[in-house]
Amino acid sequence: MSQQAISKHLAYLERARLIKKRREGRQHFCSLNPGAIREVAIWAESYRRFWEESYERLDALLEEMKNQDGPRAPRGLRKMKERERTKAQRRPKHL
Amino acid sequence: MKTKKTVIKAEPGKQEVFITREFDAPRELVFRAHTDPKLFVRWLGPREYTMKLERLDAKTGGSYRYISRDKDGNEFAFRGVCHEVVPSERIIQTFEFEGLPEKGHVALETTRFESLGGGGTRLIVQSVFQSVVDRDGMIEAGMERGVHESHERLNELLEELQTS
Repeated sequence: MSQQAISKHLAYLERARLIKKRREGRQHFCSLNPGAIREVAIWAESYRRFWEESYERLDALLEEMKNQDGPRAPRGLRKMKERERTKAQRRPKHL
Repeated sequence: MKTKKTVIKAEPGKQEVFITREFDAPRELVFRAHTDPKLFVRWLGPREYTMKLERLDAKTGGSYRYISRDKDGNEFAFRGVCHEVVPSERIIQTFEFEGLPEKGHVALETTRFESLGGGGTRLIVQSVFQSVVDRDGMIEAGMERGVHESHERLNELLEELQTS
C-alpha cells in the first residue's frame, strides 16, 4: 500500500470519527476512538433488532398468506400450489 | 424453516444504509405485505409498539404516514411519498422521521424484491440520507430509544460488519 493510499484511508476514518489525529511537527499520530465504534455498533444493533423483529412478524404473516387458500396440503403439493398462485398473482388484486 | 438473518450494512463515513433479509415466500406475497394497509400494520415495528397507519397509498405518486407508539405512550411519526411502485419488483419512496428537531431531513428508500429459487424472496432496502451527519443522526435517535447492550450481541454485530 502506498503512503498516499494510507493517508486517504486514514482521512476517511478520521472523518467518520473512528480515529483521532494529533500532529507533532512533521509526524502524525493516530489513535483509535473506540467510543465512536461503540456508538455505531449500538445503534446498528438497535436498528437491526427493529427490523429483525418486524421481519419475524412478516415471516408469520407470509406463512398465513400462503396457507390462506384452504387446509394445509402436504409440502410438495403446497409448493406446487404456490407456483400456480405465483403465476396468478403477477398482478396483485388490490392494485 | 431455517433461521433468517437481517443484515444491516452501514459503512463508516457513508450516507447510506442497506438492509437485507430473505423470506420463505414468493415475492408477490412479500410485496403485498408491504403495500396492503391491512397487512402492513401487522408486521412493521417491534411487537410492543402499536402501529397507527394513517394512510398507505402504495402506488406511483402515492404517499404514506404512520405513527408508532411505544408502551410508555411515546409517539414516533414517519411519512413519505411513493416515487415509483413496480408491483412485485421495487418501491422507491421518500422517508422522513417527523420527530427530528428540524424539518427536511429526508431519506430516499429503494426496496427491491428479488426472486430466489424454491419460492423464496430476497428483500434489499437501501436508504440514502442527505448527509453522513443525517445518517449518524439516526444513530443518536436509535440510542435514545433505549438499547440493552450485551457482548454477545455486539460480537454478533461485529461479525456481521466484517462479513458484509
